[in-house]
Amino acid sequence: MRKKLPLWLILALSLSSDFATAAPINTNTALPVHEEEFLWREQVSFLKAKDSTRDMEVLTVPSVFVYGVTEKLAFIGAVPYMDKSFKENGVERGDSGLGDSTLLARYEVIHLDKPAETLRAQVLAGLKFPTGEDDESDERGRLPQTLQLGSGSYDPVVAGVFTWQTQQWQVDLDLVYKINTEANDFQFGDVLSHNASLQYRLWPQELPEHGNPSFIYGVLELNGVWAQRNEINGSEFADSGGYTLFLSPGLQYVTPRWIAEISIQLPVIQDLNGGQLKTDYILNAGFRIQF
Amino acid sequence: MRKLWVAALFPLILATTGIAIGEEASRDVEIKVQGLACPFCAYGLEKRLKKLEAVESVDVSLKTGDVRVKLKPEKNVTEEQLRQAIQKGGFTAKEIHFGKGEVK
Repeated sequence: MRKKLPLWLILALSLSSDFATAAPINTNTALPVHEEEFLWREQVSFLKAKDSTRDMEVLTVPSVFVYGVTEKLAFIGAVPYMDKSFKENGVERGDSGLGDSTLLARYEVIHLDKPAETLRAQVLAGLKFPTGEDDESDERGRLPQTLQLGSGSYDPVVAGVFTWQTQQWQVDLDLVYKINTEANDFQFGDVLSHNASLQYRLWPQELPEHGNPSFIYGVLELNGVWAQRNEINGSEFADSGGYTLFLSPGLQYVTPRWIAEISIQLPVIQDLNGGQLKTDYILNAGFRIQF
Repeated sequence: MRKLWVAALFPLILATTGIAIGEEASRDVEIKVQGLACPFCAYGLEKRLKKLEAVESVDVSLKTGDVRVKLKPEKNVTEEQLRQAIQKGGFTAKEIHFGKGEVK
């Protein structure tokens, strides 16, 4: 059981969506966080994976806090609550509680403004801290590393984000690389996430001459995650790593002060190594508020 | 005689009041802002401008990128302060037009 859970995928996806401050749902954005601005994002993510003998459910609730130090520099902190449950042949194992936290710095490197249009690019760098329990046990003994809430390791993260936004359309692209290090004689493989998001303003069809109206966006994303094989005691493990690509339609209601959003991530490619359990879907819902 | 004084002073009072109202009404600043494309971002800019001591209210037209800043009585703001606030809000200020009685 321990060897066949694609939980690297959950960790990678939650990391990928955590950076976002405004705009897409599962892709990061380079839109501004102004100086001394404070943003709070809360998201609920539910993953379901099932086959004839195995059933996995993972609920992740990442809380994300963003603070703008200057118009170019922002700090991002993310702390997830996780509930993992895995059943095989009638036996259930799992755990719930705080997962690993991430701290990131975000810096704007390109900023071009035109009337009703902006183009931006940012780089991010940070570290994932082992704040989640990584040595939990149940009546059957120590939980497999993939069922622990934390990895026990300090893992560097680097990312690049590009955004082009008009009043009708928005395009966001990101590339995130996480270098996983060893802890508990276990090392998750490095993870590369690539995301692309296209947003279209569905409502209002015409903007009023005055004021700052709320929008409804239709969102279509491609979220890809590639992971190296995990290593146990220095040896590569065959049933781990691989590539998954999700097609993720969603809806977003954007007001001046808050955003509410929902999306479903449906796998269109699952090229996983060995006999790993494949993901059926991931459902995401959440809100963001600026103070 | 008293009526004559009142008749003479009345237009003067009106004129003085009129000038005052006119001056208050002219204490708006019109700013053309580039890069505004969504309501969430526009609100961030509005908050940033409201942090300026002289600013009483801010009206953003998302469609046109026009931002109208109304100043508090007896308070002034410079063009540089406004440009800096917009930059700190993450956007780019183009033309800034002050009404009458402004201090740049």
